[in-house]
Amino acid sequence: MNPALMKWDIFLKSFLIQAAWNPERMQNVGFLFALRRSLKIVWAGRPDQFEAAIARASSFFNTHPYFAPAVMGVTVHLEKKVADGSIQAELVESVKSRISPPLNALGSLWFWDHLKLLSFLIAMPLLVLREPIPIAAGAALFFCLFNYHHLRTRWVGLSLGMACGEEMVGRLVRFFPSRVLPAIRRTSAFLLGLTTPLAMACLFERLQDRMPHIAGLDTAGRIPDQFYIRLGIGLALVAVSITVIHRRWLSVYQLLAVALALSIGIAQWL
Amino acid sequence: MTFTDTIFFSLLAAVLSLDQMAFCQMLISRPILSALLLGAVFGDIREAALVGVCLELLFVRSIPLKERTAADPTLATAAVLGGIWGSSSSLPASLHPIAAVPFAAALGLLASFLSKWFDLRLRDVNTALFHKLHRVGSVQFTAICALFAKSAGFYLLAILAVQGALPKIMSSLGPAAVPAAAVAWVALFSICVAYASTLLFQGLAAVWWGVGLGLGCAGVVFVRSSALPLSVVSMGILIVFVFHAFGETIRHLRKRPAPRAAAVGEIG
Repeated sequence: MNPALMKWDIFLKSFLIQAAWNPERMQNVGFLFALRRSLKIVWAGRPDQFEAAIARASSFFNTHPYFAPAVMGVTVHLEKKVADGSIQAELVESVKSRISPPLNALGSLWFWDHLKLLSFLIAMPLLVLREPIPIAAGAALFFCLFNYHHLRTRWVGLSLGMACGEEMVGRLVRFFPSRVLPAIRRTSAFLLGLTTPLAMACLFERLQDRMPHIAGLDTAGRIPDQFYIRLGIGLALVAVSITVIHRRWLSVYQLLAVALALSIGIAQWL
Repeated sequence: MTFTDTIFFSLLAAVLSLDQMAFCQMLISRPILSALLLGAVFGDIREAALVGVCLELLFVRSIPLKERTAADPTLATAAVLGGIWGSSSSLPASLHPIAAVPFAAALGLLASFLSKWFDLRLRDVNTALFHKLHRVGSVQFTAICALFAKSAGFYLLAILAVQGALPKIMSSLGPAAVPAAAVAWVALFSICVAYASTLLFQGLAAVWWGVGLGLGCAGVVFVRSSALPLSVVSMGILIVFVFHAFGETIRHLRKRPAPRAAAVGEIG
């Protein structure tokens, strides 16, 4: 099989990396599933060696799913060298266990903690609007922004791993410069702050469309514009909730339960 | 939604939930995307977007990492949307289904916590499969089928439970249902936004949050009305927030090592 086909085979099968996640050896089943055919080609004509390679591939393995193709590429690269006889077979396992934990941490930090929130917050101003087309555009924006980085990481990691083995880590990390992270955090915070009043305004208008009875909360025209009162109450609630959650007085779920109970009580009193 | 629709609804939600662990991790199982997809097929995309934004902010941290399982975000979304659309005919006539969302969200969150237990059991099943089956492809296939079966069944039960409970909750509130729903909506949205904000409250990010909030307030006031006092008030909010945030930063930057404790001989 030519290398391009082998690469596509690993790339497509790597999407199932966590399908049979188990507490004993974590992602080993997905890892073996993606690599089995390539290993068969690498060890063609030597069934005993192939069995040993399968045993190596099904040992403990855990990394971030988006970086799993990179580790697979490195493994194929090293297995080819083992088949040539230029390195020892034990090196494959040690390299695998050496590079997967840092990649795991890198992926969690970048994708789960930063890029997911940032791409959602970029799309959020569209998502709170009232027409279906901007909403769909916002969803598409969120999906494309995040998955561009996701798929690029998978493909580039696999290519680098198959091409240069263990040295790929240094070159892959260059795609994730740590000095960008504070900028991402600041941008996310700015976008979240900016969207909070906008989203709240949209929410109030739409709730009024849906539930005209909310006007029952008006105190008989004594307050000129209900909108600003509600916006102020909402922002005050945000400030109070931030304090409560940030200082760990209550967890967010406890706070939600308290708020639900309080809102029923307030409604009875009104 | 009829009972048949509910079955198809939970099947689609179960397919979407495979994205969490089994397939791709392209985030289509996140509340916002799954809510919009479910809304586009089964109901109203606009109501779905409201629910999806709230739950996405609430589930911003919930990702299964290593041996930890997370509360199931797709289940919460499906239970809320399936619950409000499925029980809309049996709600009190004056009540729009969107009013029931905060109460449905409480039930949906409960169900999504319960699903953690099933996930843990399934992972043990995966270990057994790996030891019992000889072909790696069949291990993968069986594991995905087991996950799908668990999701589909549990989602259907959760959605039916929410559909059954919501009309009783809303009618027990009586005339207070509408104001309760309105207050609960405001509280739900505020708490979701606040929870996402606390994740970003480190160092300079808090400053930028304040700047964004002030600009947003000013923008809302400007678009809504050109009333001068209100613009001044909102600019005041901006300034207070910025100074508060910058003050914190300045204190942080000026932080010096604690003064050296006087040595014994220096005293007196």
